[in-house]
Amino acid sequence: MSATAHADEHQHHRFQAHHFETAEQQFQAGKLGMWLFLATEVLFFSGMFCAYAVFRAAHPEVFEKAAEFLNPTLGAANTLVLLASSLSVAWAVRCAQLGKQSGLLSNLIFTMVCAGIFMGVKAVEYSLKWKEGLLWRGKFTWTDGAHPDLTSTHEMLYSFGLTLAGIGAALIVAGLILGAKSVGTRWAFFALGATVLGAAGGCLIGNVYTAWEQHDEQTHGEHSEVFEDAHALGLEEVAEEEVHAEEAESEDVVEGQTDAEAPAATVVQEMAAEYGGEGPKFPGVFFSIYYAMTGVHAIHILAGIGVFVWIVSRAARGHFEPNYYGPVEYTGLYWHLVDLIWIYLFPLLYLIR
Amino acid sequence: MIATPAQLEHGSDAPASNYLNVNKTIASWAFTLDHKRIGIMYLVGIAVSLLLGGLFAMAVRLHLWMPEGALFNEDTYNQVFTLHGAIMVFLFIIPSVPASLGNFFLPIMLGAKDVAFPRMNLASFYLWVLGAIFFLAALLMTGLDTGWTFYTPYSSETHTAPVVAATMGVFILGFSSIFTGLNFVVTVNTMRPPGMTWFKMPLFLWSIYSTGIIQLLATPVLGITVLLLAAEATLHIGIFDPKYGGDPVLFQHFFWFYSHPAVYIMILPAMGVISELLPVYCRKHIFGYKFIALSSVAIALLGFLVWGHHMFVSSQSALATVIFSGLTFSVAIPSGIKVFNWLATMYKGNIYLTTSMCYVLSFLFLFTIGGLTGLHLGSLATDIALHDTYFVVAHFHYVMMGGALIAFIAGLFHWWPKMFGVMYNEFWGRISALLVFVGFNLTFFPQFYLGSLGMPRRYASYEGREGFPVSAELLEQFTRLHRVSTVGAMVLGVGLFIAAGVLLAALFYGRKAPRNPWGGATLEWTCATPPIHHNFDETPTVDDPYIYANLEWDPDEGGFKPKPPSTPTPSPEHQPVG
Repeated sequence: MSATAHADEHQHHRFQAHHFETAEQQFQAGKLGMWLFLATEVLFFSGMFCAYAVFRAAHPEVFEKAAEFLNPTLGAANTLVLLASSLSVAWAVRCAQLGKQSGLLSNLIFTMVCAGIFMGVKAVEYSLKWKEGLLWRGKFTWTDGAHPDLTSTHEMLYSFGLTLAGIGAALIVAGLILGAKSVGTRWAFFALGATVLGAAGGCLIGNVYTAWEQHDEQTHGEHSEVFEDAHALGLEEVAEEEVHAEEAESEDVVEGQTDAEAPAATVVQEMAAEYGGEGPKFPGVFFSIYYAMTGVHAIHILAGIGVFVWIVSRAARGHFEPNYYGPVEYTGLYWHLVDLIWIYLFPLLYLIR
Repeated sequence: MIATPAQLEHGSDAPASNYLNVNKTIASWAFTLDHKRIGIMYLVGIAVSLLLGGLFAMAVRLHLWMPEGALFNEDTYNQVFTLHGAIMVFLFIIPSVPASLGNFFLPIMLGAKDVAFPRMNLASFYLWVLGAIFFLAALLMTGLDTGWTFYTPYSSETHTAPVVAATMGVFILGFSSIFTGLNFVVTVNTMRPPGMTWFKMPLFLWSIYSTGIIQLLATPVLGITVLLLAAEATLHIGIFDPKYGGDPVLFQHFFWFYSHPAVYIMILPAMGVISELLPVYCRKHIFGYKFIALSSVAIALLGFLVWGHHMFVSSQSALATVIFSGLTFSVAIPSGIKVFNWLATMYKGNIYLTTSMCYVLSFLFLFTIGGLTGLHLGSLATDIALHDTYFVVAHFHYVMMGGALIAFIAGLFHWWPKMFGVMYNEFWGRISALLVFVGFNLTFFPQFYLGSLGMPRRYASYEGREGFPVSAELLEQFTRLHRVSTVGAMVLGVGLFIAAGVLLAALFYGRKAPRNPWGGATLEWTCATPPIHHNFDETPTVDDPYIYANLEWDPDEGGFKPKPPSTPTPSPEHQPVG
């Protein structure tokens, strides 16, 4: 682009791209683009929601039992955290529209802290599940009555949380040093530091809570034994069980031929019969879906944090004003969608019973 | 716009600066945000993919010369046809028309300076490159042998590494496709020039717009499907793999929920090219503009409702099968509307048999055969017999190659002068069109017959083995038909090489192209040849894109020019001088 072209368009806003006629056109294009992107996101998640629906319809009892292993308190806490972040990001957009610089920055950073807390709590949940063997189908090793000792995991999470706190503090200090000359860099580091501190907080609080809860349960001697029937056999018997499953399969083929005109659901029902809704490792499929959905959702949270760092940096440099706030609004829209997906995930995964 | 010194030197008539020579450094190409350069880079990448996919196709055909297989063992054969299919579908045909011609001409047809999101456009190209590299990795790991459809449990049981590499490649290519589609939809929605209402848009834009909608709504489902598939192959999450309690039919549902609409991602832009070219070479207003425009949208929407017709024999329920079969036939309506409107456009038209028009006629012939044989496959009873035979192979090659590829070549010949400012050799262009047409039919028509005789697709041999007994008489027929097909493939290959040669030779030896060599009335013919960096000095005025009466042949320039504004009765003293 030549200098003359710029001189030609000096009346345009400094962030208006040369190929747009007006700032309004640019804003509308960006907004439509973001809405279309959100449509693709909905369809992206819809595949997993669909898988969820198919497997839950086929094995409702497995889902109900397996869901008891998720911690609804942590899930509810995360839901509240994300709802708060949705409020603050909407507030941030409003501040940008009104040109309120400090309100914009503080709301954006509050949103990022919430995102950090969410990830911290999620780390606690994942770590404990890992230790307990409540993993996806291929790695599902939970055995009832085994009561894995979670002390080491709690200790690990404790030190992980402290490490995060250290990193967060270091990022803020780094912001003071590296961003001495650039207000954008400074606030980017501050925001990222605050996010990591939020993650540290989420991790530590979640850790303390789960440790307390576990202690409470143990002292009261209540532990859910939902897979007792299936797991009375123990892992050594799994091989034998799978032989049974194969026998069931051959029987099923015969059955399948007799009712060839049954609706599509029979395919799934046959599968259930083959592998047994109560089969020793079948609950792993619930956790497969749990990890797939929450994992992909968590990746979206991380991506959101990344975008917010950029937005904060631009906001700190005073880029946003009442006649130019598109990027704040687009990011806000994205963040609302990420929240919205969690609003569906929480009841579908944690609150089945 | 202030004229640069260079422009003043050369006179204002021939602008010295165009998008090709405005800056010649490699970095100016690698980091360009110019939709035209991105389109050209896509074109290069797509052409390389076509060459690669084509060589694999040749290998498949040569292998089947002998009943026992001439070249490879079974595993290698599986890999060769998998790579042929995957490369052609994901690297060539899905991006072909939209990413190259669409990128280049969509903004110009809108009189705009660029697409709505130029940086996203460049990102889309680099994602395509990255996805292609993953495919190349899968190729070098030698073991992707699942077919391009990655059906479980093949894909969860076979060599994991190439499957994961290829699915990650597909995932990345999906993003590339989504970005392109999103860009086009937003550009058409928000950047149309004043006066261009929806129903004054060139039909190419309607088809690209419809394609964009499919890309946006279908591709993410493929994304999550291949992501889950990669997780299945590596972690065994038990969603698709029956060994771990998963449901392989669910994979097929997910896969075809994308991949059937993807068929329309491939064919709709091709239909747009045809709608654009036909009226120009018939010198006649397109017939049934609104019907062609809306049938693109109808195809886009109906395309989402028919995926189950790929699964008639995959233990789908009988009820679902009947419903999907019925819905499948409904797609014939908008497709038929298009074909009949094209024919009506040609009726009493003043048809010029340029190279592009020869390809357009090939398209009409081949696409119609492809569409009609689709009816055999949409009917339940016949599909049970024809499923997974060469009949299916022939059918989708008629639609995909006879449709999408031929239209792509037609579009390339049509717009080549505008893109590079050079004219090509019409004689050799027509020879290539003839060879492609003959070679194509020679290759694929026998395959309909092969399929109806019961030759299954994807088999490495047909000599007769346990599980696939072949009588002596059948063996003779199979051998003869396979050999005709292989000879046809060679002719087709020669035709395509000549087409490529004609276009490439034009770059070096072609005479300078005029502004409007064919007499098109869409906006790209009003901008300079080749276009300047910002396409237009000032936003052009918009008129009906299919009225040719205002253009007249100018023998001096070798192209068409707008008629001087007609005065009711021009008196002699008002005649323009010269």
